[in-house]
Amino acid sequence: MSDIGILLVLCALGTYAWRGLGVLLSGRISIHGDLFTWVTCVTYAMIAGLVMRIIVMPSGLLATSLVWHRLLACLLGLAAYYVFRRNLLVAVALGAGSLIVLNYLR
Amino acid sequence: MHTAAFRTGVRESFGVPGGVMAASYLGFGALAFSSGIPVWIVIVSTITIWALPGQLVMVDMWQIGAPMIAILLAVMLTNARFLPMTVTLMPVIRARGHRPWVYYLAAQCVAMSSWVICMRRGPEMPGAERIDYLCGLAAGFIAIGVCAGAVGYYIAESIPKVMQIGMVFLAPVYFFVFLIVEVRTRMVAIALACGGVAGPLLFLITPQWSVLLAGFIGGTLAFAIHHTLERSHV
Repeated sequence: MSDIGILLVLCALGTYAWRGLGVLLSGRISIHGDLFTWVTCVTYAMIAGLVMRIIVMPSGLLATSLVWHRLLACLLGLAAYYVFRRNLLVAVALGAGSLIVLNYLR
Repeated sequence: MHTAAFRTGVRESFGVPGGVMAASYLGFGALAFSSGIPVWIVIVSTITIWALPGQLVMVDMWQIGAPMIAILLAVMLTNARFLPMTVTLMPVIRARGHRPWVYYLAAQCVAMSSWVICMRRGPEMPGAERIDYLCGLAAGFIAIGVCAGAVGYYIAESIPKVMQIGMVFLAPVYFFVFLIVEVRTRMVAIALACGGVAGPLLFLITPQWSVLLAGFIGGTLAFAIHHTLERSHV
């Protein structure tokens, strides 16, 4: 199997481990302790870190667009969410669409 | 097995949440294509990992050539939330008459979307039917994710670069907006801010370990700030 295949198997098993452990421990542990609060913080920080890095300093194709275009597109998506009655689908479509337009007009 | 409850779940997955899921997985497929990842990884990871942030972490870190152990650790940490989520969902779906292994199968259905919906809808229906509803909901969502991921991959392959940029941007925009509008507590807001700043900064220092370190350092910092604020009763 290729390296990425092995990686996928490991990541899938590692992810299921949490779900399986959740079934096993359900009713036996409290999820309101400091450990879970810390895990929540790490999870959000990691996702935010990855997303901001992809937006600010992407690799590959996205790197051919301008950083302020990407930031502006994100803010337009966010604004669209509130303008269009909290519709996430419209927000995502408008955000990605505006990057296409901004990049095309350059 | 309650077929009707399963069918209700499948049907309800094809709503607005399913549309958003389709958009984000279209983007994931496009991102995987532009990162040179084979399409079967998109399909199989959607079924087996079944968590977009984790899949995104895996594909992104693989592309920049991070060590396998760093990728595995980062994926496991972003998915550690499934432990408390499963722990809280089990009492909702547990009922007399189910065999014990059924819960271990149902656990694979736990992801952000299905968890939120099942925690809300579950208590409204008969106890024994909830687990079938959850499985139907997840089956619908996974089918949407798999199809959208594969379609996104092949669309990205065949459209001009100008359009492809927008598709690759779908997943980042989705998380950007979703994370900001879903902030419910001050602690989450602090964690997002710390991670959002730490991610790009650490990438300048150590690209391969930046995701993992952003989580650890940003998250621990946020945890410390949260604790300090709590103790001073702000």
